[in-house]
Order: sequence, then C-alpha cells, then structure tokens
Amino acid sequence: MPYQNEYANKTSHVDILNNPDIKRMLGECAFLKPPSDTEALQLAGQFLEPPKSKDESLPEFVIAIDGSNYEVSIDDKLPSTKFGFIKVGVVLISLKEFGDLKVGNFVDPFRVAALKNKNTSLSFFIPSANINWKDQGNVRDSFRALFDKQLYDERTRFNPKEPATSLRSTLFALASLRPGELGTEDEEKLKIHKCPNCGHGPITVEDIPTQQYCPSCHKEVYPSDCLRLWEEVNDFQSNQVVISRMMMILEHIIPAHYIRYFLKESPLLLTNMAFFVDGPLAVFGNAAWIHRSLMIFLEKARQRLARLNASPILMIGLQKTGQVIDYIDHVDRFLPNNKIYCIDDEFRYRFMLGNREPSGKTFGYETYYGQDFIYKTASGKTFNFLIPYPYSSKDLTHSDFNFEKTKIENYENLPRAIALINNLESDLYKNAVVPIALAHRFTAISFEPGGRVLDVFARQTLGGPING
Amino acid sequence: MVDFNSQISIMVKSMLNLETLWKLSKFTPNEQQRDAILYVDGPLCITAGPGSGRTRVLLCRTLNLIVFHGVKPEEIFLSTFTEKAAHQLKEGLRGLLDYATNINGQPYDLSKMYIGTVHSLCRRILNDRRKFLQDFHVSPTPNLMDELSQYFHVSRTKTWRKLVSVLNLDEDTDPHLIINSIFGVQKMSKHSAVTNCIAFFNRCSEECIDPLEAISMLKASDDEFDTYLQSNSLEKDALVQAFSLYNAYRESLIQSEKLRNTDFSLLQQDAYRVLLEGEDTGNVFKHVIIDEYQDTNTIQEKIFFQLAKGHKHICVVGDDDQALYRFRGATVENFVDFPSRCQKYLKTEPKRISLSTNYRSRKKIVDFYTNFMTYANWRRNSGDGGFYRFMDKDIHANKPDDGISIVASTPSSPANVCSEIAQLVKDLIDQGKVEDPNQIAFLYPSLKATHVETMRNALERLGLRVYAPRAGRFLEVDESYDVFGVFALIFGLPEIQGGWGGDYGEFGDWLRQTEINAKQLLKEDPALKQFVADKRAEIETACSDSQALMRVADRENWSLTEPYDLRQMKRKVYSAPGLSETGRKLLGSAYLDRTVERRATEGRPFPLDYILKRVTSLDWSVLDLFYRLTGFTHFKAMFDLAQSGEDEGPICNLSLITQYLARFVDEFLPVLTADLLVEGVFHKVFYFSFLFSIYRLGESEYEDAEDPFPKGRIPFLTVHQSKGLEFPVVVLGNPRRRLHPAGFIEKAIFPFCENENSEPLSRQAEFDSMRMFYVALSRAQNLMIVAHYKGRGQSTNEPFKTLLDDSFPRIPELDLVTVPSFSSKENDLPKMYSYTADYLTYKKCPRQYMIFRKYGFVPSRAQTMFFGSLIHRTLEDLHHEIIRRREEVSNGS
Repeated sequence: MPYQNEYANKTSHVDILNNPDIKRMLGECAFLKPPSDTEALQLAGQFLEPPKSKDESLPEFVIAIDGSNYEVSIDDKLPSTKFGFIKVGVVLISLKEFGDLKVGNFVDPFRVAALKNKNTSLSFFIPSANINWKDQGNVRDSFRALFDKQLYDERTRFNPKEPATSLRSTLFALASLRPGELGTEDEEKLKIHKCPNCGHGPITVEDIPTQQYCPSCHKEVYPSDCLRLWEEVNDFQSNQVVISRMMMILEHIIPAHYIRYFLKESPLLLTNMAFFVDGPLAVFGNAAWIHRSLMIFLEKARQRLARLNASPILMIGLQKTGQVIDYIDHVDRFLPNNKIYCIDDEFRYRFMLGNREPSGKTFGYETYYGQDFIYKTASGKTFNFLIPYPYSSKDLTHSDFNFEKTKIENYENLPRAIALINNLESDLYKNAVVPIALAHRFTAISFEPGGRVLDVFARQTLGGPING
Repeated sequence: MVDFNSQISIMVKSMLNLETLWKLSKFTPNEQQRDAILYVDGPLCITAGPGSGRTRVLLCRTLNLIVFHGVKPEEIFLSTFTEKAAHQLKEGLRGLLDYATNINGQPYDLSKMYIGTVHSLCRRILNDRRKFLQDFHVSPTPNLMDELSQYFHVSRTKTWRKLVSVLNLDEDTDPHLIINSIFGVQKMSKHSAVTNCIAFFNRCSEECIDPLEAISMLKASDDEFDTYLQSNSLEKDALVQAFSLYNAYRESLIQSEKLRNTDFSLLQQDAYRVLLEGEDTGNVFKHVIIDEYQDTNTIQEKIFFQLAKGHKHICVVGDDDQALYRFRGATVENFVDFPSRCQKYLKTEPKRISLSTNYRSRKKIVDFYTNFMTYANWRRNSGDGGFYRFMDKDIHANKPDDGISIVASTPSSPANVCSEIAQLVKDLIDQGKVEDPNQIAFLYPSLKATHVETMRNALERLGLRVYAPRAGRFLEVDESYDVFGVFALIFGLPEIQGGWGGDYGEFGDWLRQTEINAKQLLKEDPALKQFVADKRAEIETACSDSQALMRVADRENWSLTEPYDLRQMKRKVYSAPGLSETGRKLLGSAYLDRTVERRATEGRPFPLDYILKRVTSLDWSVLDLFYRLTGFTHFKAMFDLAQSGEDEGPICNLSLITQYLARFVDEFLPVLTADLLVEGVFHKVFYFSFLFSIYRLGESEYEDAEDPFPKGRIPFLTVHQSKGLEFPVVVLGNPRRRLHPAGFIEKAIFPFCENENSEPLSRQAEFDSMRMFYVALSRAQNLMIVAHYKGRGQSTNEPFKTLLDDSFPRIPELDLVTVPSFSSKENDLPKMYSYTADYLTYKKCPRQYMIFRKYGFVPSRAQTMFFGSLIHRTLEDLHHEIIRRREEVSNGS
C-alpha cells in the first residue's frame, strides 16, 4: 500500500511481463471462451415452442420488488466509520391502467409518474464499521439488535396493531417450515442454530415482543439471528457484503410476506397478481437455507389455491446480469424468436460454466428455488427469467429432480409467465420489463444525487462535518 | 406495507365478479342460464328442461343475490323438493361463497338461511314464530309425525276407536269394512282402512279443506253439486262420513292445550296460519326461491305468495313435463299458471326464462322425448284457450353427436325381450361402457308388474345382480329374514287367535320363514346358537322372577301402586321363593336402597310396581340386541363385504333395520321389562303394531341420499324413484301404464279445491302417464333402451305404439363401439366435511365412521336420547321464561 502522495513506479510491470513462469502458468489456465457458432446453433436447436394452456389470462396486478443499498462514511476523515442504508421498493401496477399508458413497447413516462402512489418501500438502516448502537458494545450486536427491531417495526406490518403481520412474523413462518431439526412446524416459533455469543444451540425463540435470551449464557438473542448474517459482520471494516446479503434476503422475504398476508385474508387475489423479483429465485450465503422454506411455502400456497380451483402464484425472477445473460449476449443472434429454452444442468455446466464439474446433486441445490428459462419474444428481445420449482423439495422420492425440473409441462404457470413478459416487455432498457424497470427506478439509490444526499443526512444526524 | 391496503379494495373490486366465480367453479353459463342468474328484480319463472343445469343456475343466482346484491342469507327462502337437493344446494352454495370469501375476506354465514324442503321450512317457521309473529308467548311447537308415525297414530286402538265413533255404527257392523267402503274398497282389512283414511286426510290438508265447512257444503248442496256427485258416482253420505273422519283425526292430534301432534300435510297449514297471523310476514324474506315448482300443492302456493307479498321477488323453477306427484297432492297448474297467479297475488307479471339446452343426454335421446310429448293434445278446452303445458320450450341437446343413442328391443314375448336386453346389458358391462353395474338403471312404472321378475331372472341367469328398492317389502330382503329370525328365536313368535289368516296371512308366513332361516344360521354357527340360548335364559329368568315377585305381592295383598316400603317389603320380596340370584342381587343393592330412601324422604316414593319392573327388566333393548348380533360371523361378513367395496347391499339393509329398531325403541318400548314379556305385551306391540305395520306399508329398502345404489348391482327403480337422477344407460322396462280413472279421493275433494284452471279429471291419467314416461326417457345420458313387448296380452301405451315403428332402431342394429364409455366425473359441488362428525370420528375409529356416518346406522342411544330431549326441553322452557320476564320488565319500565 502506498503512503499519501507517494506515486507508483512507471516500469514496475516489466518484471511481470518478462517472467517466463507467469507466461507458462497463464498458458496452462482453462477459462470460459465465447461460444462458437456451432455451440450457439446447438443451443438454438433446443429452443421449443412456448407452451400453450387453456388459461393464459393475464393477472390484473403486478407487484415488483427491487432493492438498493448504499454504504456511507460519516466523515471523509474517518472513512472506516460507516453506516449502511437499504431500500426495498415495492411497486404495484394495474395492468388495466398500464395498458392505457402503452404505445407499442414504449410507456409514457409522465403518466407512469401518476402511478407513484402505488409504490411503497421499506428502508433499513444498518450500523456498519465502527458503529455502536445503544451501547451494544460492538458492531455485530448493534447490527443484530437493529436488524431485528426493524423487521418487527410497525412499518413492516400490514396492520400496525397486529404484530403477527410484521415482516419478522413472516420470517418465523418461513423458518418454521425449515426441513430437518431446525424446523418447528409452529409458525410462532423458530430455531436459531447457535447463540452468537456462546455457541449454544439450537435455541428456540418465540414470536413475542419481549427480549429473549440464550438459556446458556443469558445474553440477548434475536429471532433474525437465524439468518446468520451476524457471522459476516466486521467491526472495523466495510460491511458492504453483509448489507448486500441483507438486501437480497429482504427481496425474497418481502414477496413471501405479501403472499402470506393474502393467503390469510383473500387468497384468491393471489391468482390475479404476479410477483416480479429482481434477480434469480435463489438465496445465497449463510441464509441460503431459507430457499428450502420458500419452496415449501410456495408449494403449500399452490395446494391451497388448487383446492379453490385456482392457478398457482405467478412469481417471476428476472435476471439482468450474470453468467446466463453473458452467455445470451454471445449467442442471441442465433436464437429463434418466440421460442423458449429450459436450462438444464448439462448445458449449463458444459457451456455456460466452462465445463465445470457439477458441484452437487443439481445446479443450485443449496440456493435456488426457481428454474431458469431463456425466452426470446416474438419481437426479438431475450429474457432470462425464473419461476419457482413446482415441488416442495429437491429430494423427490419417486422421480429425478434433475430431470423433472427441466420438463416444461411441469410448470403450470409458464404460459401465463410468458404471456405476461410479452405484455410487459419494454424498450426502456435492454431486455427489460416495465415493472422491474419501475421498481428499480423507484428504489435505486444513485450515486449522484441520492448517495450524496444520504451522506449529508447521515453526517448531519450524527453531528459530523459535511464534506463536499 | 400499510400503503398497499388501500389498493387491496381495488384488487377485490376488480376480481370479485360473477365471471371470476364461474371460472373458479368451472361453470360456463349459456345465455339463458346467465339471464336467469342475473335477473333478480321481480317475479321470475324458469322452465328448466331435463339436464339443463337448473341446480347450477339456482346456486349462482343465490350467490349473486348474497355477494353482489347485499341480500343477507337469512333474507332468502329457498325451498327444494327433497332434503338431498337442499343439502346439495347448501353445500354448493357454501362452496361458491367460499370462493367469494377467499377473494374479499368476508365470511358468509348460511346457518340462518331458510333452505330446505317445504316441510322442513314450515317446521322452521313454526319454531321461529317469535320472528314472524313478534309474539313472545307462543305455545310450544307441535310434535311432527312422519308418515310411519302417522300410520302408528291412526292405527293405535285409542285413536282408531275415536275415529270409528264419529260414524255412529251399530255394534255388530265391521268398522273396517264400512270405512273401506267409504273409499270405494270392499275389504275388511284394518290396514287398508287406515291407509285409505290417511291418504284422504292428507289430501284434504294439502288442499286446505276445512272438514266442517265441507260437511256444511254437502248438506246444503245445490243441483249443480248433486249433478257432479252423481256423474262421478259419489254418495253424499259417504263424503260426509269421510270428512267426519278427517275432522275426528284432526281432533285426535290435540293431546292437551299445549301439546299437539301434527303431520306433514297439516304442518303446512300450521305454518301458513302463522304467516297470516303476523303483521309483516310478507317482508321477512327479500327473495323467495322455489325449486321443482311443478310438484307443489295448493297450501304451498299460498305460503310462497304470502312470503313474497312484500318484496315480490319470487323465483320459481321447474319443468311441467316432469310433474309426477299428483297422487301426493301436487298441482302442476301452480307452475303452468304461474303468470296468472302472480297477477292474482302480487299484481305483477313474471319474467319467463327457458333453460332449454340439455347437457345430459345424447341428441337422439333428447329428440325422442321432446317429440314424445307432442303426441298428446295439451290444449285447454276452456274458452280462454291456452295449454296445460308450456309449449314453447325448445329443448335441444348440447351434444352434437348423431349416433344411435336410443334403441328398442326386437318386438317379442317378455321372455325373449328380457333375454335380449339382459345380454346387451352384460355386453355393455363387459366392454367397459359403464364403470359399475349400478350405472345401468331399469325403470318401470311399477315394480310390481310381472315383467320386472322376468327381467330380473334374465339378468341373474347371466350372473348379474339386481338391487330393487321398493320392488318388494323391505322385510323380504335376506338381512331382514336373518335379523328378525334370530329375534324370533330369542323372543318366540306370537300366538294369534284363530291362526294366521286374513290380514295376517302373508305376515305369518313371513315370520315363520324368518324362524326357519335363523335356525339354519344357528346350525352353521355354534357361537350364535349359544348366544341365542343365553338370551332366552335371560328372558326366562326375568319372567320367572317377575312372576315370583308378583306372587309375593298377591300373597301379601299389596297394591302395585302403593309406595315401596323398604322396611316392610324388602325382606319379603328378597326372599320370594324361586327368585333368581340376579333378582336377589338387584333387590339387595345398597344403591337401590339409598335411592328408595331418598325418594321417600323427598315425598316422592317409588311405587312397588316400579321396583318390581326395575329389578326384572332386561338391561338391553332390541337395538342393543341387534348390535350384539353383528359380532357373529354371518353378520360380520356383511360389514367386511362393504369394506372391501364388493357389495354394499347387505350393510345398507342392516342400516335400515337399525333405523326401524330405533323407531321401535323411541316410539314403543324403550325398556324391556319382564311384565311386558309375561303378559305378551311385547309380542303384541313388536310383532303387530310395529313389524306388521312396516310389513304392510311395504317400507322400502335402504336408500342413501348421496350414493343411492350399492356398487355391483343393477338398480331396478320406479320412474318416480329415478326423478332427479341420471344414468349412463337406462332401460325402460315397461312402456305401458294402465290409465286409471280418477279415484275416490280425487273426485271427492275436487269440488272443494280452490284450484282454478285445473286439468279435468278425465284427462289427468293420460297427462300423468305422458309425464311419467318423459321423466324415464330423460334420465339416460349415453344410451336409452326401450323394452318392446309383443304378443298375447302385451301392449304399449301411445305414443310408444306409434313411435316404435319398423324404422325405429333395434338392439341388433346397435354397434357397441359407437356407445361412449362412461367415466364418472368428480362431483363438481364440493362436499363439506365436519370436523367433529367426520374428521374426529374417522380418526377415532374408521370402522365406526363407516358404520354410523357412511351407512347411517343408528347407534343404540336410548338414554342419550332421553337426556338429550330432556335438556332440550328444559332449555326451551328457560328460554321462554327469560323472554317473558324480560318483556315484563321492559313493559314495567
């Protein structure tokens, strides 16, 4: 690392260039290469006609969820003292109203602005490096206390007077479904795998407003500890990774929060709405276990709706970046219009992941709760989207999940998903759909001016100097 | 999160509409169905042809009222013809409303809705008199007698004597013969006299005829009236006698000022009276909906229009071509003349909608029965013109196929026709055209015709089993022989003075046969033999104890009514010579002593009679005895047969036996005491008052409301039984019905009826016959087979005679490949299961669930019933008292 005002030597790289060992090692590396035309044609050949179903009626409402985060230093002179902000936006679009705004694939931006009263958002404040909240003693405990408090806050409740409608209660509902020993099958109880302080575990906590303590060390435990985000919290350095993970978790719990509420109050409304989630239907990191709960949760919801002769919940994860998108960029010109491909593990590992060996029973065994599809619309836009697996578990008793997950006919909602994407495809951004674009626009904290404003806000609130 | 709440109401509003609910319930209404569902303002007359989706329309219309027009369930009066239909409608409605609740989160409570048969709703009106009359001092609801109870009531010696006394007969005259002759029957049978009387009483009640007014009218009759009587061969005196009997019957129902019985027919009059007494009873219901309106009678019409008087929203649904119940008092004119009746009662015209698309049957079947009805002349003779039928219904099939779907047998003798049809039926079963033999129905105008037996034999020769409810007496099924035979061995058969002749002839034969069958069973099962011996010994012991104790009472000159004195009497009765060990034990019981002392202290001592009966009573009833029998191999096998799904017939009949035995326990002898057995009272009541009545009434075999026909058997039904049902294959077993002229009852009441424009007596038989065959023909879904008999003594009714001509397709021309295979769909209407009655019962014991819940066995529950009704009565009294006091307080303040 250089000292301040010390500049690097302009010829230092020459040693590297002349090093024969480095040259040799580079030559020995296998790496992902752009796909050949043959490979692209091979992929194109696997594209199928989009499935048709009797019921392709579009849902009337779309709920799109997108999150954004920003980490701010309280002072330029103290760059290692940081706060984080997360904003998860939820946009509700009535397709009837939206239809009136559409001219071709373009949307009247002024009239879209009129939809803004159908937006809602949840903002979270996270202590990052070197911040101590309410004498918690360290960043990790401050983070835990504050995260839990905010999940339980009235702002997260559908009915402010009913704590059971809080986001934390949804976390309880999901965690109770967890397969194995850590599940409770009781919506009002969840298990934390171990105490963050003494390591005792598992600990069962209840969905109650009062503070709960570890039975072993008697220190505070929080229901949200079950997400294990605290394990990655760093006291003295940036916690950008944790903030991103937290945002990702919220992006997946919030749809479940809505679904749970509707299932309780008016379940059939769920058949008339679609959920768009930004990114893959997958949860990564220490909280990845929650993807299994989500699978069970969605399957239970499907069964409940099936009993009412209603179609399953339409949930779509839309990928804007990533390996699949990178790959599509290379082969797009070969792909046929109005065709769909259900990505199977063989193709993914062989071509998209550079012949990497499959790491487990199936791709995303520990993380994904939805299946990837590549769909090229009639107008030539290509989408990589996911819809939930139609199973409650990947360990099927009588069939092979790897095989079943790639059968298009197993996805009852696929025709509706395709119809919806067709309807919502937008020329606003490349391969975008309007709800995600709107949600993103509503939520995104841009570096200028949003980020700068948060900087000033944080510093003012803490009484620090306002720089810049 | 809260921000979105405002949007949820928009979402609900956007989604909650009839189209969504139709879609969820997988219903796509046609134009007429849609019209019928949406029309909710003013009177509406829906003519619904066979298989035209009437139930769906009724459901959706009611749903529409509740969900989209804000009508509360308790503001709807929905009457159906059967309890089964009411149950289906209620469950269907619950299912549809559940969809609405799952959209808007609003629960709908159907418990207060008036939905059921007319009779059950009338009963409810009587129970809810406070609601209708706003009177809190109403007397208790009369006790309702069903048909069997009514028979028991009339035939009971006390009542019967009362009825006979009004005829002022000489002592040497046979009252049975006289009463039968009033109704034009020359018989000496009491049973016949009782059933004739009941039929007449019920018709009078349904037509709201006041017996005293009728007698006055007869006595003051003019020439025109006399001419009517003469032309119909009616004697004025006989009519006066008949109405006098009716009047005496009505008086016999009054037991005391507060306690009164009523029957199904008078119940409606009672309800109507309540409606007339109330001030605003026409506004209690916003919508009055009546299904099967063609089968309603005069008193029912009055009730419906009275209920609809305020809001005028009356919707009637029916099919005049399916009017079958004239013999029960139904007047199809209520439906056909509904427009003019609306004018008369409500001063407004109804809208008329015809549901004419048939979704049930293939095209040729629909074409055939539609054409069939055009062969009668329905034109009215009166000056106003018009028809006795809705002529503009345009019934047509929804299924477009034009293949052969109706065939007749090759015209031949009954033996040949039955063989040909039986072979076809076997082929249909063998080729999988039906899933189970119970999907092929044989329909007959009457199951007592000889053709029925011929057909049954033909089928049985091919190894096919038949199930024929009401074909014979229920007591003639194998299971009845077995159970009552064992009973006969335990209790012994009664002795009858002068032998088993006359009325009792056949019954005596039946009883003796049951005994022979049971002896055979005992031979095969030593355990059962031992059981019978044990039970006989128990009875003998109880009887001998009773006699021993009576001897002591005689010796000591005790009156049986005097209080049981523990100090004076106990020692003497305890040491009665010949008293069994069991008798001693019971008499010496410390508990009995304590109870006797307590009662004596309270000033309510037990009479001696009670104590003697108590210690010599059997600790089981006839129903308990039945359940003990079910543990033996022969009877247990019937349960196993049902559980394996092989044959449900036997268990269904056993279930019916429990229902009758429960009636005996409830209405006759709940406890079997030795004195009843010693004095022959039990035998008299059990065999003559009870079993003989059932035997003569021909009470029918088991019918399950939800799944009427046991698997593995071909049902033989009367056309009346088949009403409201459908079958993939139907055989019309006899296209002939004798056209009987109007009987005494119809002729007798005709001049006293209010019914305007009624069908003339001379044409009723023809019209009824046409309608009956129309119902039979319209039951078939895929294939209709008509038996065509020819030869000596064989004939068919018109229009079959004309329609079954040489060009009509015959069985040999039918290519079975063209007959669609039937696969039953899951019932579209969701079935609701109760948490306690279904789920918990099943969880507790699946076998018990099968027996009591699925097959409807009546548990042995004499004590439960007693305490249940005691508690019910006490609560009702308390309720009355609280309301009375509350009113006094409010008046005082």
